[in-house]
Order: sequence, then C-alpha cells, then structure tokens
Amino acid sequence: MKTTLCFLTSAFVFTILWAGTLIGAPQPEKARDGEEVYKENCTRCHNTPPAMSERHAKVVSAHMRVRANLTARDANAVMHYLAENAKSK
Amino acid sequence: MKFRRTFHLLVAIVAICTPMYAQDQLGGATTVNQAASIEKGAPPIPVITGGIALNSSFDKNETALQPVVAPIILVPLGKHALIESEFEAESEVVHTQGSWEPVTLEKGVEYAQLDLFLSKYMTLVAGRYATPFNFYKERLDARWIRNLPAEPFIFGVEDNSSNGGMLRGAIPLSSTTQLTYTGYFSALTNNLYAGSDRQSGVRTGLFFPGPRFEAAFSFNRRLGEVRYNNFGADFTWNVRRIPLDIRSEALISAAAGDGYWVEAAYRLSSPRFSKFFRRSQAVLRGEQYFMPRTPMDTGLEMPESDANRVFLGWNYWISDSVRAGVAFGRQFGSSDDRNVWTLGIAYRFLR
Repeated sequence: MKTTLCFLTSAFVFTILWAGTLIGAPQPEKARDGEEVYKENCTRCHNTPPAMSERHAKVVSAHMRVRANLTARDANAVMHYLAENAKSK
Repeated sequence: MKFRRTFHLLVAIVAICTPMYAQDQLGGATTVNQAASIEKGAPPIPVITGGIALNSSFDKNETALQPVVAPIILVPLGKHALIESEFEAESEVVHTQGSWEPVTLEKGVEYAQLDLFLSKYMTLVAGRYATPFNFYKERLDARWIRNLPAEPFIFGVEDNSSNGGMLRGAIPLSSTTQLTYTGYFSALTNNLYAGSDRQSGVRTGLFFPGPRFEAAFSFNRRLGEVRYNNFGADFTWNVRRIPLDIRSEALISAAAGDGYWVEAAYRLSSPRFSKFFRRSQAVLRGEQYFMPRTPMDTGLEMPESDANRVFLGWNYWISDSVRAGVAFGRQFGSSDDRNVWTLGIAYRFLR
C-alpha cells in the first residue's frame, strides 16, 4: 500500500508540474473582465459581492484565490471588480 | 528507505522550484503591469469577516436551536503570503420528550493556515486547513453561503480539518479549460480544539469557465488505526441562460458508506417576478445514503441506517448581508421516517 501511495503522490505531483510548466505557464497573460471572472468563479458558491474597500478587496481576493482555486490572473481580476463595485455603490 | 526519502525530497524541491522558474520566464510586460496596478492603490490591511447564524429545526420528536458564530481573520503578509484563520463556536439547545436537554457548545479552529503564493498557479498551504475532500466543507460550509441549513448525509466524511501541508491551485490548460488541483498530508494531532487525523489525499478537477461547469474527483486515505480509502466526485454548474445553480457530490467508501446528493437552486431574479421575489431563491435537494456492508468504527458522524431525504427550501435576502431561509424536508429511512422543518437566518460581516 505504501508503494501505491508513493506512486499516486508522485504521479499527482508530476502531472501538476507537467501541466503547469508545459501547458499552463507559457500562455500569455491577458487582462480579464472582472465581472465575468466573478460570475464564472464566485457565483458558483455565493451570489452577491459584498461592498468593500480596495484594501479589503486585495485581501479577500487572495483568500478566495486559495479557497476557490483561482489563478493569480483571475484573483487579480476579481480584486479589481470588487474594488470598482464598492466605488459604484 | 533512504532512497525513498531522497526521492520525496527531490519531488518536493522540483514541485516548488519549477513553477517559480516558469513564472520568472513569463516576466513580460503584462506581469509588470499587473504588479504595478496592484501596487498603485492603498496597501492591503487585515480583515475580519465571517458570519453569525441562528438555525432551528422541528420534527415530531424534537425541537433544536443552533446559534453559530464563525469569525474569520485574514492577515496579508506582503504580496505573496496570507495568514487566514476561522474559529467556529456552535451551540445546540434541544427540547425533546417534554424537557430541555443540557446545552452543548462545540468550538474549534476550522483553519489557521499560512498561504504562500509560489507562482500564478500554485499555492503552498501550511498549518491547519479544511480537508479538501469534495467541495462542501471548503466552499459551502459557511452558514451564509449554504442554501439549506442541514448538511448532506455524506458530509460526515469531509467534516474535519487537517494539520499539515497542502499544495493547490489552478492551471489554464486552454482558453476554455482549467485544471484545478489539491494535494495534502495531515498528521495526527490530539487536541480538543484543533485535532486532526493522519490522512492524505488529492482533489483534482476540470473547470470550464464558459459554461461555468466544474467536475472534480477526490481521493482520501485515512492512515489512523483504522485504515481505509474514501473516493469522492463532485460537480457544480451555474447555468448561464437562467439563474439556476446545480451542485452535487458523491461518496464511495467501504468504511463510511456510499451516497450522493444533488441540489438545484433557482434565483427568482427575472423581471417578471415582483421586487419582493427577486430577492429570493428556491432550493431543491435530493440525497441517498447507503450503509457500508461491513460497518467499521470510523468515528465519523454518519447516518445509522440507509436513508433517503428530500428538501425543499426558500431563501430570502433581507439585505446583501442578511439572509433568511425556511425549508421542509422529508426523510425516508428503514428506522427513521419523518418530516423536518428548518428555519434559519444568517448574517455575514466584513470589517
């Protein structure tokens, strides 16, 4: 069983590395529409974005980057959307 | 043994260093611009957020009140690290067979973790974290987020936290597909408020931003005195054309049993509904649980017999931060056949 576990863990890590370095990483980073990213990711669990300042938005988007498995680019887009959303309220 | 340790060490070093290298290779104008845009504004500050909720349930045998407080503290450490912590205290006041039972108070640290953003696509988590088996515990457990007050039957398997390390993130495979991944290991900790089992596992899935659909697979290996495997699968789908969310989880476990739940939530946001109803949501959940063929002492809070349940609920947002809900459930079981009513109100705060 230990050997199986060792194999599965190694396979998982190498799959992620392979995908991350060979496929994911070389893609050009384009700015994304924050509202669209918010709707794609955040509304899977909750609906309305709370009103918050830009300083709050930076921390909350980092928190959600971990919780919802967002890429840095998407977390950044959500951060800008939350900050802009707060300004418009 | 020595070879195995060296091998694991090499895997860990490569896992941490390669994405950092890849990130450095990107380092183009866009990355610089992004960093600049982040730095333009005011620096991030610690945040206190979380929720307070009061749920109550009624059936023919008992009435229960469950107040819950769950504050979350987020402390940024520069641009590449974050400390996050959630403490939860839940009390239960039960009236059954004509008398009140002693009030219970459960409290504990849900998570207290350090997040290191190693690259655009990878985060290293160390400390205490919600065990990422399926998605309910991590994403829907907060009272102001969940659509129905009652957890699904199979939640007993994932309702725990781990003390150890975790690698996680998302990798864009193409413009329409993302790979999401989580791998973790937890050590045994005997602590009343922050205990954990020895376990390891992975959760990996594909997310399609266009149709807003994610499907994932989870594997969890319990490494305590009783050793067993849990397999899970989950999906979420936010239908674009109508305000309908569909979520589901499944569990296959020789020790904990098998089961699944499917939930559909429809937001009545269409202009054809009155202003009152546009702030509400109808929810329907169906679920089944099947006992393991050879029951084992896993210590998990699972139903004591095969069971089926249907819930119909309605949520209303009094404001963006306050939500009230009512639900009716019918449980069918070989030894437990009953109706359950639940009422709840949840408040989300952010300071």
